[in-house]
Amino acid sequence: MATVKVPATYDAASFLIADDEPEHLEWLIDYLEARGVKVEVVINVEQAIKAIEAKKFGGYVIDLNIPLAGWEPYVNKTNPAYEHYQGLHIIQMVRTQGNGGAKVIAYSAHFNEQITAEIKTLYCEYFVKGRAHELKNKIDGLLSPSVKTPPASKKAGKP
Amino acid sequence: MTGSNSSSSDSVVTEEINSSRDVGPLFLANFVHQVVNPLNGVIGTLDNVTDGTYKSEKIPQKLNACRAQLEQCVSLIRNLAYLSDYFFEISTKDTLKPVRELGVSVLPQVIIEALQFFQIGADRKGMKIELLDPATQYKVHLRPELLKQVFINCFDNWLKYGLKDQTVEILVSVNSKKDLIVKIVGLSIGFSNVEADNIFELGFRAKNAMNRVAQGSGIGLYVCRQIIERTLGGKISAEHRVDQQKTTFRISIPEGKWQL
Repeated sequence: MATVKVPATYDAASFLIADDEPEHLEWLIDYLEARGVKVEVVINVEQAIKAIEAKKFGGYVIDLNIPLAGWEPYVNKTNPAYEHYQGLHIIQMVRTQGNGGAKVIAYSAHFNEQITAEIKTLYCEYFVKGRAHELKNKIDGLLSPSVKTPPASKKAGKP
Repeated sequence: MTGSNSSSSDSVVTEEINSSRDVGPLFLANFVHQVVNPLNGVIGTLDNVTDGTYKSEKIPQKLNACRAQLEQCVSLIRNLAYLSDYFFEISTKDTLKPVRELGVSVLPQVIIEALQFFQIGADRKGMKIELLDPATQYKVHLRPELLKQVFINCFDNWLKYGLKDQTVEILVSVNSKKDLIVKIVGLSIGFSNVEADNIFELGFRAKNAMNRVAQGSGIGLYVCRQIIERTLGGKISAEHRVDQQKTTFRISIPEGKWQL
């Protein structure tokens, strides 16, 4: 049975964002890039699997409503949660590669028990869209001191 | 008008309500997704402004993007309003008849107003949407806000699923049966012609569309069909030629429902 490859390269100063409407996440890309993080954006599961097989990222933000495109699931095929929220496949693969759950953020417009149950199983983070500030706080916690640069307004008044 | 036959329009309304119940949960989930995503974009952008991520010279550009995202939300919410407006259109109440029957749309004006709504998005995609004959003043016996919504929804689909760097043409003509025909022709990711009729059903999304964007509201083209077919007694259809990647939306408005 096919399985996801574990990449040899690890780039702590990079993030993967998987969202089929990245134009609505430009603010997040800008936020990360302003802190020196390299951002790779993918718009479907197929592209995401290729990206995670190429390298390990410092963090992952995965929209749960994302199309499979050409990728065929080989596990959880008939799990209703995975059928509704196909981004769960990406998270499962990322976790299978041995990435820590704290670095993996499920990001969704929806909040319901079907999702929370799967998130518990996958043991990763889960943020609901519409709470930008909380997501940023989480990301700030993930960024190492070497890549974290406080925004200009927070610098103001400091010597 | 469609509403003159009370028993048939009552059954149409009942059928619509039942149909809405069938697709209700999926439709609402899609709708939530479609509204929350752009609103999330606005919230994140505003947060970047307040925490200083965006420096002063970048702020106007980012606020413009916010405006486009809010407009997208308004368009979706407006479609919900037009669903209720459609029930107004087929209502049997006599008091509503004069309002409906006085409504006249000047076709080129309505199309151009709808196009203006998409100017920024089309520019971003390198796409031009052109009404080839803006001079001939065809008049359609329908309230302008309803007809404009038809074109807004059609253009919205072109922007989502149309190919970049192309000119989409809007052609208006009169056929041998004296139907007024409006065609929107351009290149798109397409759909199977087997699905062509289904794309106008509430909550339906073509397979190619789902591979491009996981969720859409599935409401826009449904509203188009209600307005053109149930209200005007016309016909709206779509076809796609895979070999040329060419998609055509065709709207026909029967004789008696339009004039020059």
